[in-house]
Amino acid sequence: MEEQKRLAEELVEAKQRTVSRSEAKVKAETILEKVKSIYGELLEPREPVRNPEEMVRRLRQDYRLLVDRELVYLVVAAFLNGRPVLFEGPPGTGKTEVGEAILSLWSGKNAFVLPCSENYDEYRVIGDFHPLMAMKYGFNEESFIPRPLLAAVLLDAGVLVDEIRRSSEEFQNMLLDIVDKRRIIVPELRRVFRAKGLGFQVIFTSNPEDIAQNELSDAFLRRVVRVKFTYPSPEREAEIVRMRLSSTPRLPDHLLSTMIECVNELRSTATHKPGPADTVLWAQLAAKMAELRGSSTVSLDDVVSAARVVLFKRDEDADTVEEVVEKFFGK
Amino acid sequence: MKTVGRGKLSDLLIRLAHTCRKLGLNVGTSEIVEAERILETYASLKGGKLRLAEMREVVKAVFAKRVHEERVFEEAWSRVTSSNEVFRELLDKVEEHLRTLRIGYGERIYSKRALVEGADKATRERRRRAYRELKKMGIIVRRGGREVVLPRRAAMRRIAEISRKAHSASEALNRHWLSSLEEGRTSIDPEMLRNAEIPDRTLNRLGTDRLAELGMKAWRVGNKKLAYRAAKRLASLVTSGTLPKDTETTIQLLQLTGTGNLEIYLKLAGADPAVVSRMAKTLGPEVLASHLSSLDRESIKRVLPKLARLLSPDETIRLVGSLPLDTLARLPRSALKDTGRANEAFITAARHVSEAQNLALRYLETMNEAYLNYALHEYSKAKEILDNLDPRRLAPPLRPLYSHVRSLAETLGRPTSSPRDLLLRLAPSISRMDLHQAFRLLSNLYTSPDPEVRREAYRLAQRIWHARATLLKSTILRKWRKTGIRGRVELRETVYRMVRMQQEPLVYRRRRRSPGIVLVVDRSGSMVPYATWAILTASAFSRNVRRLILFGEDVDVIEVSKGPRRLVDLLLSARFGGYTNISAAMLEATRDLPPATLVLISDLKQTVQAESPVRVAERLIRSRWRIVVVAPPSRDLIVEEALRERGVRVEVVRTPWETGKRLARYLW
Ligand SMILES: Nc1ncnc2c1ncn2[C@@H]1O[C@H](COP(=O)(O)OP(=O)(O)OP(=O)(O)O)[C@@H](O)[C@H]1O
Ligand SMILES: [Mg+2]
Repeated sequence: MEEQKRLAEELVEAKQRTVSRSEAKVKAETILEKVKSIYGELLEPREPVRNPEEMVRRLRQDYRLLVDRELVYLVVAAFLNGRPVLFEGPPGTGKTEVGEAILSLWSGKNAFVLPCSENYDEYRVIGDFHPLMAMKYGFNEESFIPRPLLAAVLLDAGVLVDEIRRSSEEFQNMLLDIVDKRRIIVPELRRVFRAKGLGFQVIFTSNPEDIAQNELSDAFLRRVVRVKFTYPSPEREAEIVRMRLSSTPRLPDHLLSTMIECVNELRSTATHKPGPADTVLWAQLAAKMAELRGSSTVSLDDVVSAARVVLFKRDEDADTVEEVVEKFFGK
Repeated sequence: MKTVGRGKLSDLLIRLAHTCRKLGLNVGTSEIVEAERILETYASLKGGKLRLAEMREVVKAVFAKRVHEERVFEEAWSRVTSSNEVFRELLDKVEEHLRTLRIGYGERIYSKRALVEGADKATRERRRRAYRELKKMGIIVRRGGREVVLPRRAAMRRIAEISRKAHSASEALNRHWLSSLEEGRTSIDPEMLRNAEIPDRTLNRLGTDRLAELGMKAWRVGNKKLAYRAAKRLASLVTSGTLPKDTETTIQLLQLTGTGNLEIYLKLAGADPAVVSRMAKTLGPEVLASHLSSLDRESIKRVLPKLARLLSPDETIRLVGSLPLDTLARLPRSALKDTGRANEAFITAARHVSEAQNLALRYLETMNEAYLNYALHEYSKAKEILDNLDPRRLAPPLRPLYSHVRSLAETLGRPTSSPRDLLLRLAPSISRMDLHQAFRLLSNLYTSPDPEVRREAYRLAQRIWHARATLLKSTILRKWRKTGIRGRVELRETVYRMVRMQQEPLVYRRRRRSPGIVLVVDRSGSMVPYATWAILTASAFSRNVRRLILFGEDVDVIEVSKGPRRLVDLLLSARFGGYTNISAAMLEATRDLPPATLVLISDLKQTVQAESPVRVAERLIRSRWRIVVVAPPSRDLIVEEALRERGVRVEVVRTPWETGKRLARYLW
C-alpha cells in the first residue's frame, strides 16, 4: 500500500517534469558532447579522400577491394548532388564491404553501419530515452541517449544502411526524409540537428533475391541512385581471391581457375548461389588445410574438402553441389 | 568513341524519358533533372566528355530502379541512340538481297528452285543465303500457300520494327532471330547455330522439345558448347518433371552430352515406354527395375509391360515385391512363366484381388450391381488360388506382400450387408491413396444415390483431411523452433504510460510471426493434385491465411477462418477444369488489402483474353506486394521467365506433396 502510494507520487512528479521539460537548463552542447564521448573513439578521424581515382587506389591498397572505376565515379557524383546511393546485387558481391569502405574514405572517419531488421525504428537509430533517467528527470537532453544515425549527422560521418529491404516502409521513409533534408528532428527535445559538412552520406544495400524481404516502394526508389552489383568476370574474381589470400601456402593457378568455373556453374544451377565472398572463403579454407598439413602448396584434396564446408549451404542443393564438385574435381 | 556534347544532353534525356514512358516505365521530370545534374558532375570529375556507354550506365542508375526496368531502359536507349543508323543499314541489306534474287517488293515467288538457281556455285550460294536472311527477317513470308515478298510499305515497317531492337544491324538480326526462336515461329536452321550466341534468357524460355531439337542440331554442326548448355537446361527441366514429347531426341542429346542421370532416364521412360528397351540396353534392365518404384503409379503402369519382358524370373519377383498392388495388373502373363508355380499363382491372385478392389470402388461410385458381381467374381478366383497356396513356398521378396493380399481378400470376401458397410471396409485402402486421388474418388461417392454412402464418404474425407493436415503440420513445425509467447517488454512505451499513469503500463514488444498471406489457387484440370495440397496446407495454417482465392474463369473468395469443415465441403463439391483467368484472380485477391505476400499456385497458363498476368504482377510489385509462385513441372516457361525478371519468386515443385511443404514456409 505504502509502496504504491509512493510510486504514484513519484509518477506525478515525473509527469510534471515532462511538462516543464523545455525549462530544463541543459546546455545545447550536451548532446554533441555525449555523442563524442560515446562514438568519438570509434571514428579514427583522418584525411577524407574524395577524388575517385585516389579512392579506387586506396580501396585496393588499404581495403583490398577491387572496385570498378565507373562505380566509384558514379557514387561520388551522387554524393556531390546530395543523393543517397542504393547498392543492389546478389549476396557476397561485396556490397556491404565496398559501401563501408567508400563511406569511410569519403568522410575520413569510420562509417556507421546499421544492419536492418524488421522492427528497427527511429528510436534505435536516432536516439532513445533512458527509462529510469526519464522517470527521474523527464524527457530531456539529460535522459536522451543518442544513437548512430544522429551521431553520424553530428560527427559528419557516413552511414551504411545494410539490407534495407528487411526494414519497414515507415522506417525507409523516415530515413529518406533525413537524407533528403540533411537534418534530424527530435520532437521530444524540440530540437533540429543539421549536418554541417559533406561527410554525412548514406549508402543502402539490398539483395532483391532474398526470400524474407519486402519490395521497395516507388517513392523510395525514385530518390536513390541505384548502382548494380554483379558477379565479376572469372579473371577479376581470380584477382579478388589472390588479393585476399596470403602468399603461403601457394594456390596453383589451375586449381583457382577450376574453382571459379565451379562457382560459376553453381550460380546457374543451385538455389543458393555462391558469391565471390564464398570463393574467397573457399580458397582461404583450402589454404588453411594445406597449412595444417604442413604443406607449402594447396592440393586438390584441400580444395575438395574445403568445398564440402563452404559450398553446402542448403539441403535442397546438396545433390547439385555434389555433382558439380565431382564434375570439376573428379571426386 | 562516341561522345555527346552538353547542348544535346537535355534533348537526349527528354527523348529518352519519353521513350521510356511509351514503353511503360514512368520517368518523372525530377529524374530527368537529376540525371542531368549527376551526369554533369560525373563528367566534370572525369575532366571532359563522356563515352556513350558510360553515359548509359549513369542515366540507367537514375531512371531504372528494378531489374526489369533496366531492360526497358536498354530498349529505350537503343531506340533513341541508334535506330536510325541501324534502319538504314538493314534497308541496304534487304535491297541488296532482293537484287541478288532478281525480285522486287510485293512480288510472288513461283518457284524457290528457280529463285536460287545460278550459273555457278558461288552465285547459287549467295542467292541461297539472301533467301534465308530475307525469310529470317520476315521480308519473305508465306501467304495463301505461296511465298511472297512483302510490299514496300510493309517491308519498311518490318525493318523499322527489327531495327528498334538493337545497336547494330547484325545485333538487330540476331535479336529478331532469338525472339522468333522463343516464340517457336521458325524451324531451327542448323547453319545458324554454328556460331550462335544464345543467352540464358532465351534458353530459359524454350520448352523441352525445342531445347532437344536445338541441342541436337547444335551438336551436329559442332557447337558443342551450345549443345551442352541446352542439354543442361533440358536436364533440369526433366528433373523437375517437365517431360518432352520427343523422348528419343531428348535421350540422344542427354547421352551425347553426358548430362543425363538415372533419375532423368527413369522419368523419360515413364513418359514414353517406347524407349524402355533401348534404355535397358545402356543401363541394364535390373537397374531400371530396382528404381521403378520411385516413379508415380501411372508411369509404373506404362513401363511395367515393356520392362518385365527383359527381366529374369528372379528379377521379376524382386520387382513385384517392390511395387504397389494395383500396378501388378499390368504385368504380362508371359513374364510370370518361369517364376515357379507358387510364385506365379500368388502373383495372379494378387492381381485378382487388386482388380476386385477397383471394381468394388467402382460399384460404390455408380451403384451399378454389375460391378459388384464382377468384383466378387475376381475375388472368388483369388480365393481359390490363395486357399491352395502354401506361403512357405513363396520366394522371400514376395512374403511381405502375402499377408497384405490375404487380409485384403478377407475384407472383400465377407458378405456385405450394405454399400456403406463396403465403403467402411475399403476405407483403409482409400486412406492410403494419393490425396487428390482419394478426394476425387470420395467426391464421386459424394454424389452417390445412397445417402448412407454420401454421409460415410463425407466422414471419411474429413478423417483423411484431418490426418494429412496433422501430419503436415507436425513435419513442418518440427523444423521451426518455437518462439516465446510474449516478447520482451517495450521500455519506451511502458515508461510513457507510467508517466501518464495509465492503468496497464506494461507494453510488450510484438511477437514476430508470419504477417499472413493471400493464397491464390488455380483450379484448372491439370492443377488438381497441387490445388488439393495447397488447400490442405491452407487449412492446417488457416490462422495465417488472410484470404483464399480459388479461381478458374471466375474467382471465388473463400473464408478460411470458418475452419477445415468448410474446406472439405469445398473440395468435395468444387468443379475443377475450365478456363483460367490468373490476372483477375490476382486483382481480386489483393483488392482493398495493404501490401503483403501473395502466393499463387498455378501453372501460369492463362486461357482467357485479358490483361497479362505479368503486367498485373508488375503493378502489384510496384505497390510493394511480394509475389511467390508455386508452379508444377509443366508450366508456361515464357510467363515464368518474365515474372522472374520482374522480381517474382517462382518455385517449381516436383510433387503435389512438395506444394504443401513449400507453401508452409510462407505460412509459418
Ligand atoms: N570486389 C571485391 N573485391 C574484394 N573482395 C570482394 C569483392 N567482392 C566480394 N569480395 C569478397 O566478399 C566479401 C564481401 O562480402 P560482403 O558481405 O560485402 O557482400 P555483400 O554483397 O554485402 O553480401 P550480402 O548480400 O550477403 O550481404 C569480402 O570479404 C571479400 O572476401
Ligand atoms: Mg551485405
